[in-house]
Amino acid sequence: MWEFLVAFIPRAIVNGMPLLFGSTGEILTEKSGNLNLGIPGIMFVGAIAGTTGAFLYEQSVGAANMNAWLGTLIPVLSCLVGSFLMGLLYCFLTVTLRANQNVTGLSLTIFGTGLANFLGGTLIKLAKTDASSASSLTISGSLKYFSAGTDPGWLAYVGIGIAILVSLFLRYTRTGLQLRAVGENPATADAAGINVTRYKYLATIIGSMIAGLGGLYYIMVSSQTWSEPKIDASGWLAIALVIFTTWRPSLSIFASIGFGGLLILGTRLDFATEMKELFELVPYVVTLIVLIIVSLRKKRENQPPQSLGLAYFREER
Amino acid sequence: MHIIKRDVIPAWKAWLIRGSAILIAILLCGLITYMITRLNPITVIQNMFTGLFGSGRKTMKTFYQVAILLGVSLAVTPAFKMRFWNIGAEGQVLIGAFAAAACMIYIGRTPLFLSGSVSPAVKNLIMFPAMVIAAVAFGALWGFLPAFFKSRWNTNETLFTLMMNYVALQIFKFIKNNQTVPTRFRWTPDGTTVGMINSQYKNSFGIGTIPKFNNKPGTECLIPIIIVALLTVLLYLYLKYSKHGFEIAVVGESERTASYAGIKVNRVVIRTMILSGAICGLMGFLLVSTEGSINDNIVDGRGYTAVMVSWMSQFNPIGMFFSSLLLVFMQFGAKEVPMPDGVSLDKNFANMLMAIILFFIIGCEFIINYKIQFGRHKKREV
Amino acid sequence: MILEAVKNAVRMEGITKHFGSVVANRDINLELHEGEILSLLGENGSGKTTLMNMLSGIYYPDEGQIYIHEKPVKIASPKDAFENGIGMIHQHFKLVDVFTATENIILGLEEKGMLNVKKAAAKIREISERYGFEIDPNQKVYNMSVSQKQTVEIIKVLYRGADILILDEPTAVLTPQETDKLFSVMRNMKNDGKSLIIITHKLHEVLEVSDRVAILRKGEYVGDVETKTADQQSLTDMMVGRAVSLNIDRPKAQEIKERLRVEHLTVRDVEGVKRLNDVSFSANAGEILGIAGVAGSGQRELLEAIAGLQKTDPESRITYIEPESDEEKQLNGKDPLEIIKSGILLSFVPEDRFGMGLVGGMSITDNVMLRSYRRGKHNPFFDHKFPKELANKIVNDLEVVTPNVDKIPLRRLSGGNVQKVLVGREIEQSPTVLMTAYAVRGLDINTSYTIYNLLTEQKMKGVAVIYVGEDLDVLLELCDRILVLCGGQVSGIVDGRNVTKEQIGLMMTKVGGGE
Repeated sequence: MWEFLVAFIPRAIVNGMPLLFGSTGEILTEKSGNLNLGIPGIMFVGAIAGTTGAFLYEQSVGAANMNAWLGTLIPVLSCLVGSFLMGLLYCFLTVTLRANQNVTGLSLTIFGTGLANFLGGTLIKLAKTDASSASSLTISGSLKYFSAGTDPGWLAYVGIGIAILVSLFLRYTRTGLQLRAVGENPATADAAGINVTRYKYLATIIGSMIAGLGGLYYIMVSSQTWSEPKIDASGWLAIALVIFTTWRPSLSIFASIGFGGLLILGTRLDFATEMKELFELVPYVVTLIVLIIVSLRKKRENQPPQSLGLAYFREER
Repeated sequence: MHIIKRDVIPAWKAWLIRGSAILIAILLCGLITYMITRLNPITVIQNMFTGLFGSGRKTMKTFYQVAILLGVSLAVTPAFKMRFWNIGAEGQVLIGAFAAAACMIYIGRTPLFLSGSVSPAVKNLIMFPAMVIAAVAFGALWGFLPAFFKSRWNTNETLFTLMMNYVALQIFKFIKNNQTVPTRFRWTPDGTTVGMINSQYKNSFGIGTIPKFNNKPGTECLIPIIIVALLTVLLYLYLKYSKHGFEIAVVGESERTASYAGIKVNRVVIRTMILSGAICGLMGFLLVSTEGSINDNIVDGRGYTAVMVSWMSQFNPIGMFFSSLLLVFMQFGAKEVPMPDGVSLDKNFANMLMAIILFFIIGCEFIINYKIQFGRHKKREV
Repeated sequence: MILEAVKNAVRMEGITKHFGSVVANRDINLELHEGEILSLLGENGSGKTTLMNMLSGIYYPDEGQIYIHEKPVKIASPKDAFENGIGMIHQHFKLVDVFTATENIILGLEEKGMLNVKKAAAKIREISERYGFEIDPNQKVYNMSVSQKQTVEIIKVLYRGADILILDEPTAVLTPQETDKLFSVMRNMKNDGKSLIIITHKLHEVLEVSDRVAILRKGEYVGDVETKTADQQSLTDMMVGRAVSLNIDRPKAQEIKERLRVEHLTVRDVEGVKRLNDVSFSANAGEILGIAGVAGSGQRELLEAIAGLQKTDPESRITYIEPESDEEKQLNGKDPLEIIKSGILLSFVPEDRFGMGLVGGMSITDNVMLRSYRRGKHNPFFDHKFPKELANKIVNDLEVVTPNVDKIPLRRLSGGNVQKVLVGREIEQSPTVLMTAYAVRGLDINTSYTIYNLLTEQKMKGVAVIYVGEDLDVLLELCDRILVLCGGQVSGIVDGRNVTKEQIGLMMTKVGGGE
């Protein structure tokens, strides 16, 4: 049993981290009143941007001559730039142009998924050295800087750190308080002299960048290769986690690892292989139950931000 | 600079703006494609056309794809008109497809269907209604659940329907992958994820699949196309001229006005979502029955794309037909474009371009709904 | 009285404000002395709130100048107002429900550093003690009563260092006990050197709390009086002005028969507060029953309860009497659909046109159809010919100006035309009882007269008409009987032909109306 846990928990963390990044980013976003259904697409873009950065760096200097700092920084920075742009696009459409958030988010997911898989496929073709590795891309050069192979790696600590920081930010800082006010009641925030647009932009873009790191983690640590990644499933699950944790990133640390564990439990337990899919089903069903309970209990602290999903237009007071 | 809400602008003007947005987007997409492929754009379009409409069979297949996407788009439309954000069409179609396939497998393995002495016509006469009923019932159930919780406790329907997609997927995967013992209950002959249903059972193989006419390939697409065409007309009439359709429109505009007029809002919400789910289920049946097989990816994101189709056409069935056609043309046409080194552009590329078009359409709604005034704003408060 | 000693905290000079063609304020000169409580008195729509909104930076005056402590200032935004030490407590609170009192109070303050809730809470306690507020800084707003929320709003303003406070009808939502508490707090603030303006139309409150009264009527400044030299009668005279003759035709109907009987009607809001308390009356065929009262006295709840849109307390009885058979039918406990199905002919022109009576995004025909689409029991499709004909008839009869009846969304028509469609549709139901709420609000004189004539015509046809209005002159000339509501109670039912404006004014502000 002990041995099983020692082997299992690190894998659960490895599988849970993309969810943690995604949900932390989405919580920050939703606290500003934006329901960003583009998270799966943003994670995809973060992943492909990081992968492309790593790949191009490796191609240009050769795997042997790579610098550890650059090998780490280039993927991370490319990932952040990619997800920044996605967040910016979402904000421009929903905040500035006041477009419907659901439609915009779904389009962003379609866009991100398409772009990432298309570029991924192209990279595979570019990297193709022999016919056998036609469906996957190994970015071996940079991988070693992220994880030694099976351990969760330093990026996991970053993820947990960000989750804790976001929790503290929302709870204990003045800016966090104002952000929550924007998500709850933008008209009140506006009357109190808070720049609603700026808050929405910043929270959503920073949220996107955090979520983008989740995509990078998925490639660099969880799967360690680009081969038809199922980042979209992680992205939707991250959105589910937001509800599951009732908008608390600190709770999401445990919930993400728990969900990550459930996703692989079926493959790890001998007696459970036949129930693999049922274990994977649990996170969604539990989320549904939490969603119902939250709406049933009506405990105000656990409700979604009141203006979630609505565009704010001052003239419509 | 100051932004104010416009009065409603004439419909033709709105459609003109949308049309121009789409046109600009398509030009941009063309430019991107050109930059990547360096192919003559005319050649690209020619290739896409011959790939999609080059023969009778290809044309049929293409219109079949249009029909399915249009069908799912029609399904989500009543709910959207009611301002109910159902993004669970993906799961509703899948669970319908699953139910239809389950009928083919389990009914198809009863002694009656395995015996060679009963004519296929009789078998089909039992099989088709069973499949349709099962598919519609399951799809309707998937639509009912979020509506029930929404009307009862105001549970967020966007997130609820989203989760239901994955619940459907995981249930389907579980049953498909684990019905391995005894062997005759296996879903697919070789245990892989994709396969022809019941291909190892000579006497029940093909029962429940839509027939080809004169054994011509592609003609099996005819019936789904006709069904969806009929559905389009029916749904158009339902939304535009029926009492139910009127109630949906009123609820979507103002729930308080609806109550004032004696419309029971909760009842309308549940009824409409059951309808949405049921049509999705029917599409699931058409998918399974036309293709004779089922796999995890059978819905292939149509549930999400349909949201876009319905929204970008402003719930107008004719608009939806053209939107579906455009999207199918891009998604399936992209595959037909050969790249210089022999590989082709894929569906992912098409999805990306499709999303670019969507961004433009989403953005242009701003011009339709708002007006920008420059200079110091005039005081017009009332 | 030593005039030299008076210093002005606020002086508004020649303030004029237009909304479109309507003049909300015309050439107003108002002074607020330092350390006094000034009542701003006037009927609904007399321009009190507009005037104050120009002090708090929500509106900007078209003409005129504002002086704060005798210095000319420009107040273009709430922030400007706040920098000049002006704080306004609006009728609709701007609070975040899931936040605590403290969090709401410090929201938006540009202080640096970490959130120090303890320090803020201490300051809030200090303010509370100074002025006598009772508040728990850590209580969440959603757990608060209306008066507690109001307290938070007032402290919010004080926390920001305001020395000029404007309270917009603060007592409208309070119980008498809470009102007393508020007044003692206001006096404490005054003694601390703050200057206050209270907007109200309740005379006894004016007399109780203020030092001076300024009166507005129809957007114009009537004058001011020292409170100690005023009484209810003199204030009423200044507020309502002399009765204006409108020459509305008021024929007497031949037959007057009871059609609607309301007994012991009690309605509570979501918080359990009684919005209507033991209301009893009857509405008769051949009569227009006017309902008067200051805004929010229970008019909306009364009509909605009859229409089946409000939950009523169990002892309430609403009875409808059939015109032909005199058969009695119970209305309470029925929802609108059940009312329609049991053949009760009840028409209702609600106050909130687009929020309730009509669908702004639909055409005239579709809006007319809202009432008739159920026709043809077993036909799943609606008949679109009938509503279109009816829509055309309404457009012709009432001279609705519209390019077409079945394309243009109603929202694009002018307010008067929209109201004609709504009233026209309700009259075309051939109702037994016709209820209207503020049927002429926002309409021009001609359209208003069209509506008055329509209602009188209905009355003469034997319909029981209920008219909720705000203009006393109109109520006095249009209605046969007038029911006056005050704080959810019936203050009295009087004959419209033998009552004066002053009598009604007194009944509106005090149950029973006496001194």
